[in-house]
Amino acid sequence: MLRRIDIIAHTNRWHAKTGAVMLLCAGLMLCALCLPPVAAAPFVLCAAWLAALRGARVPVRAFAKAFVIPMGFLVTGAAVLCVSVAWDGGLRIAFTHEGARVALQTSCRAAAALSVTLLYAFTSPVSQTLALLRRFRAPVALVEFMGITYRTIFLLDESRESIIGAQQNRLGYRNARCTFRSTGLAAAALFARAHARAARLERGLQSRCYDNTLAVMLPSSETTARDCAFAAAIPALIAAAVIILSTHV
Amino acid sequence: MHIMEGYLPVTHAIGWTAATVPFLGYGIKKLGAQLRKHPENRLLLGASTGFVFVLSSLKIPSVTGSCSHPTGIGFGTTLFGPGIMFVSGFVVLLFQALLLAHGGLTTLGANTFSMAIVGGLVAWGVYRAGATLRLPFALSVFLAAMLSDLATYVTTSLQLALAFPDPAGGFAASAVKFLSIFALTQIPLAIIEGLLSVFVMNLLRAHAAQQLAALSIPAAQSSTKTNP
Repeated sequence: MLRRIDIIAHTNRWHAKTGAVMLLCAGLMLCALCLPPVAAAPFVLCAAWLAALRGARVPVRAFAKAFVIPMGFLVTGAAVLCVSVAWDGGLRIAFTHEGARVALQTSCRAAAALSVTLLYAFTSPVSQTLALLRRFRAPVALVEFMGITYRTIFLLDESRESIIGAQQNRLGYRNARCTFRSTGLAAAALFARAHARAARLERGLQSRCYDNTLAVMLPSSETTARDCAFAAAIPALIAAAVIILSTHV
Repeated sequence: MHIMEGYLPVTHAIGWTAATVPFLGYGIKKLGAQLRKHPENRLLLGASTGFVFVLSSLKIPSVTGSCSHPTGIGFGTTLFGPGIMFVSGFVVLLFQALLLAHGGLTTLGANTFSMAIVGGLVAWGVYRAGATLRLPFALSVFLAAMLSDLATYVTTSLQLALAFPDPAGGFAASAVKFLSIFALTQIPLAIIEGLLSVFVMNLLRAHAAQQLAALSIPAAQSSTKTNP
């Protein structure tokens, strides 16, 4: 999942329009959180899925898979909200209509908000998000720290896969005891590798006059005023439609 | 355990984000000071946060038959202390939301509060108490990682109970409901994470003492004291 989302974020049709996508997602997220959830969720879901699949051409399978897994947790969570527990001469668990109403509202809100987050994750490369954060004057130490972490994650993930693959080939995960030992060994090896790699990178950068700033080339932004207007109009239309529906139905 | 995207009502999402901001501000200030003092640690700290992220994606067996993953916060706090771990935890949770679709952006404040802040502070308090009481190093690491994990689970349950009070029993009944449901997986998971942290720390002290010393971290200092 880690590399799949990142690769799609870098290759989709909107990968250079992060500013407009951020505006669209912020608007859709406000609709999902602030409007009546049962009325707003279908609109937000449709807008997010259409934007991702038709607009940015994100592969349906990858987007649907990323959506379905958290929805499994949501179903379990909704079931918990439907029941009420009380101690009345013994433990009593009962289905309540109030709980069911809250569960429905929460499920609608969560499904809509999840679609919006996935739209942003699948269409906006993290490097573009960091550039935007820099422009919004987020603390420099935090943005640099995030940038270094982001670049390290993929190298470490590759190492993790190769270590675990080698351990699996040697039956390192055949039972719980072996799994525990292999996981511990993998974690320790990863720590040593991460630090050895960081030290090598530090030495390499120092020898190239490193002044504690990592200047990297970013693809230029292709966001136009028209994109921004479009991104602001969609949530505004959804909000208007939901408010009209809520007052008339 | 993270609260999923959009699960909390908007007022709760804003409230937990507001509660997280001062701690995060303190962590960023501490991080900036550390980088000014030791600029050569910039890449090491980034690599360490990447390590916590990858550590949290390692699967460990769980009693329910499924797999779960460690939070890495207790382990990370014993390595770096709580201040930097507030920022590391926040960055790990943000990347989990953006790169793994795990957790969420609207619940980032609540998840950072329960995992990085409460979990980090509990881990640090227990670890320091262990050092003061002269407990064996392995026991201090075990208790720090286990109790940090349990503190995260209790905080998350209370956050959910506050957001969704039980129609009949109110906040207390709802807290009992969430705590007992999560206890099934979280208590064994906390014990496993504690044991795993001790195992990894022992391996690191035996084979990567140099890297630990490079970070001038508490675990390295204990390592130097015990293995002169």
